[in-house]
Amino acid sequence: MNSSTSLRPGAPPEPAGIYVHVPFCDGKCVYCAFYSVMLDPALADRWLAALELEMRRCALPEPVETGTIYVGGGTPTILGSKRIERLCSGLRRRFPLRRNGEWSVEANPGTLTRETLETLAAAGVNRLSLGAQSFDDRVLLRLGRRHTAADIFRAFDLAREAGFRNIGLDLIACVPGVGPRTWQRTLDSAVALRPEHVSVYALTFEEGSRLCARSPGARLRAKPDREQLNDLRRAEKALSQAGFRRYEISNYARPGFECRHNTACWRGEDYLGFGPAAASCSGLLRWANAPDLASYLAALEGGGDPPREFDELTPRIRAAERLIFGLRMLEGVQLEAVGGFERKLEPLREQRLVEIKDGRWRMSRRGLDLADAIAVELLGD
Amino acid sequence: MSADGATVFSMATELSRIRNYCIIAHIDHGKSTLADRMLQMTHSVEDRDFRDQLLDSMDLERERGITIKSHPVTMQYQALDGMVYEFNLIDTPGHVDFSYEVSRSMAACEGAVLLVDASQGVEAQTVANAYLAAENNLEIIPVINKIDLPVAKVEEVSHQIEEVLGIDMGQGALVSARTGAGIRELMERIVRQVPPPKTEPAPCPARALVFDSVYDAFRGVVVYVRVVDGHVRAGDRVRMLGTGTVAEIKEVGFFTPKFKPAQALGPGQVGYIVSTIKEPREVRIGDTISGASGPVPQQLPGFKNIHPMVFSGIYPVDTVDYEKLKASLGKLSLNDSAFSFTPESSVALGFGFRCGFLGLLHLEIIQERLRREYDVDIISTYPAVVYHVALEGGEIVNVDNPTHLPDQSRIEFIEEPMIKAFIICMNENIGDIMRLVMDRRGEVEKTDTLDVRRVMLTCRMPLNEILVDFNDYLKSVSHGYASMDYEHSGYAQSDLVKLDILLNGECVDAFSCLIHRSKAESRGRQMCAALKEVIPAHMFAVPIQAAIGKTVIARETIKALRKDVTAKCYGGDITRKRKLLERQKEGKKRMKQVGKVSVPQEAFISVLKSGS
Ligand SMILES: Nc1nc2c(ncn2[C@@H]2O[C@H](COP(=O)(O)OP(=O)(O)OP(=O)(O)O)[C@@H](O)[C@H]2O)c(=O)[nH]1
Ligand SMILES: [Mg+2]
Repeated sequence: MNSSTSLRPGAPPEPAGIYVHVPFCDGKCVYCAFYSVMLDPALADRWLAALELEMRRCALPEPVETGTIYVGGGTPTILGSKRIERLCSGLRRRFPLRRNGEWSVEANPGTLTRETLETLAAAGVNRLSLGAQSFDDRVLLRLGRRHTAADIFRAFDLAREAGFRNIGLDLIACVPGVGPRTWQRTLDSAVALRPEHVSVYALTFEEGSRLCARSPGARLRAKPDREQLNDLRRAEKALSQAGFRRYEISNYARPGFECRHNTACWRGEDYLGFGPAAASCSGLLRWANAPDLASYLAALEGGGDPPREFDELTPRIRAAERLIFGLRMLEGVQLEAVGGFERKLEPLREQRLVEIKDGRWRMSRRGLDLADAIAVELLGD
Repeated sequence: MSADGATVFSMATELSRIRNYCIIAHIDHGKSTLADRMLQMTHSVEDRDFRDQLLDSMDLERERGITIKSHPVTMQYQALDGMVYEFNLIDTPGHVDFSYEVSRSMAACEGAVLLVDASQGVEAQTVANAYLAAENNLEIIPVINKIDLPVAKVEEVSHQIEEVLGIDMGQGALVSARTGAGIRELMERIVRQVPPPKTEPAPCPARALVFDSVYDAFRGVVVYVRVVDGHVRAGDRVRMLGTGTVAEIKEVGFFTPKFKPAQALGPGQVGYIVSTIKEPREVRIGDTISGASGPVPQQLPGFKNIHPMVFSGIYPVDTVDYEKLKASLGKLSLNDSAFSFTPESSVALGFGFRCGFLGLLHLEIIQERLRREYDVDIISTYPAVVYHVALEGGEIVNVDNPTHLPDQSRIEFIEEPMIKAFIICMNENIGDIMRLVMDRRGEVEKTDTLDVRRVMLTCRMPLNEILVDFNDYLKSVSHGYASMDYEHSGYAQSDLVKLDILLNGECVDAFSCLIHRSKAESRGRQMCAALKEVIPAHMFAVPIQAAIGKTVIARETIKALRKDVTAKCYGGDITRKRKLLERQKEGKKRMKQVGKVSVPQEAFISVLKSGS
């Protein structure tokens, strides 16, 4: 199967969101299970060329406008301004951004230079997602990050200077050994920078990450649930006091600065992903490129599609997905969008895990803490 | 004379050259290993096909290193007198739960090789099996095995055999089944000491005793027989004298130990018959097979009906497997007449079967065989014995399932089955073992000195008390040196109560049990604690209670799940995340729903294992 059959035939070229996966890093953070390899200049050049080929093979007419672009990774910003320039102009040619469109790029405080920032801004990137993670150097070290708190301040100021008016910070909560005081200081520092967006992720022990590879009984073990919840509540409090609104389980934004690319994914809208390990969604069809740079390069350089895994959803599963991921957002899901699931939602409502408000199903506060368990209830027939 | 060249056995070995014997012993004394040496000495098995404990052919037997079924095999032994003898050997299991297998095998034999481990000496099943052999008028050849071991105590053990069993070691042999030492001498003894089979003078109607049967995937119902008179051949029309079933024989043959077709089975021989009988339940172990026409001979003695003593409900994990489970139980019971089953249903587990067993190992083995050989996923309930419940007005009902206990207000009293247990142990362990027996509501009735170091305790105890883990405790307090045999010994009145387990306020019938009042509370606490370990946290708190009637005597609570949420979930994660959740959902589906509570299968097993 190739990508030309992967979009619904006859469907109007919908403006899907565009995602690009940059598979390069300058090291591996202990919690990360995303696909990446160490940066190698020659490989990076070949990857860029292959990416352009992959975008060209996409069945949508060329060019086609898009509302959102998201460049993630990996660490996009370690590519250096030359390659970033090439990446961005390729994207712009193939998927020109609509007026008022959102173009995000993930950036690491440690590798962000004035030059890179200026290149990004000049190319049309208008949103920066900064992987701050913590404002405590010891914690950063423990997480395997290769930057310091000072780097975050520096990078943030540079970004503002380069003209970025929409900056998000990522923070990692629930790190074992990090007490409430240290965590509060990280939150305070984040707020003090006055970003537009903050994501707060509880540290997860992902299969495939170094955290998980460590021998069992190694010193890092997940915090007990009670402490985790305390950390997360603390974050919610600090951020809402500072004017942020929680709009998804782990995401907070100043009104109007919610990440549109991600919101569209959660609402179940289509997106196209490019690069090794990137996933795409078009109607009932899902596919993901194999997480392997070598085979990605070989396939595209040989004139074919990269190896992919396809998954075709039934309408019922698609509906369940929309419900499950929609409920992760605080706006919830419209009543009429959950046809057929009332039977499953009602018992959850009796347990006060979900509620109906303003014509929408939403999770209760307790429900938000139990989103996965609720999802399991909602799945199946 | 053979039709296909594959028939190596002549159809009628002269009676004087047939020797039928079984090998009997306490568990692990080396029966199957001795059978190996005999198979090799008689060249019954090619070197490349040989493996240790060859006759233990079931996976389960090989894995556990124990014999579960009796295994017959026919061998040609070239004796020192220059003649070739046909040896029909039956290797038997040693565990007390399978003594019924041993007694059936004995009906096909004239002799028994009684094996005693030189390092262990006479143990409980040694005594029991020796008596059984004597009752069956078998010629017993006492054999001391494992003489290669440095700790072998040949003299002491010889003494025990003579003193405890009253068997003359002058008729016996010393062997090592491992090294092969003494085996030739033993084979010669078998020729000399085991009497050849007897038969009615010809012409006489054919008679063969059905001593076992199996369901074979290719042949269907295979009946194991010992021919007493006359011949049976393919094409013969035969009648089962007990059930009256008439069938045509399709194949007869010997055990090599694989099925080996032959032209006929003659008097004194041991072999198998495949007939037009398709239905496992049309065969009764102990029945007599005879010609369908001609005079009807007298039925052979057959076997005492044995009654299962331990009952447990067996349910399919997935309700769609009900029919499959039923068919599998049918096939299993064909090969295991000591096992019974009847349909029953449970609120928690749905439709299943009440199954009867001879003991806990028997129960475990059947469960394992269902899982492996028949590939059905099952859940079983806590084992129970058969109680006699006396109701007001004098009526007595048998209750083998605690949930069927009549209303307490109608019960006058309850009686429980008792056993007489024979425990052989070292002098220094007497105190500990007496305490153990008393703790299990038993009493020691008699103490017999076996020799300077060992005694045999005769105890009366409730069967219920030895069901689950008594043997483990016995082994542990005696450092492995005590052994036990038991026989059933009537019923005795007892202060029994029904202990229920409630999950989130709902009684889980599969967990109910009858228990002595003095033990209810500790048992209730154990069960609650065990369940707390295996039942996953729910989105609400789940109280676990143990209750007698309406009185709660123990309680645990599984705290409500507080946090179960993936922090990061982006476009690329959605499919992966959904699949993960679907897997969790599948796992949940395999659990049993008790009201709103999902109970994993392990719960049913762990409650079983949580005994004192
Ligand atoms: N040293 C030594 N070990 C032996 C000898 N005979 C048997 N064994 C070992 O004793 C153990 C039990 O042997 P089996 O032949 O399985 O005993 P069994 O009597 O058939 O046991 P069950 O069928 O379970 O009652 C095995 O580990 C054998 O290897 C022997 O002559 N010498
Ligand atoms: Mg054996």
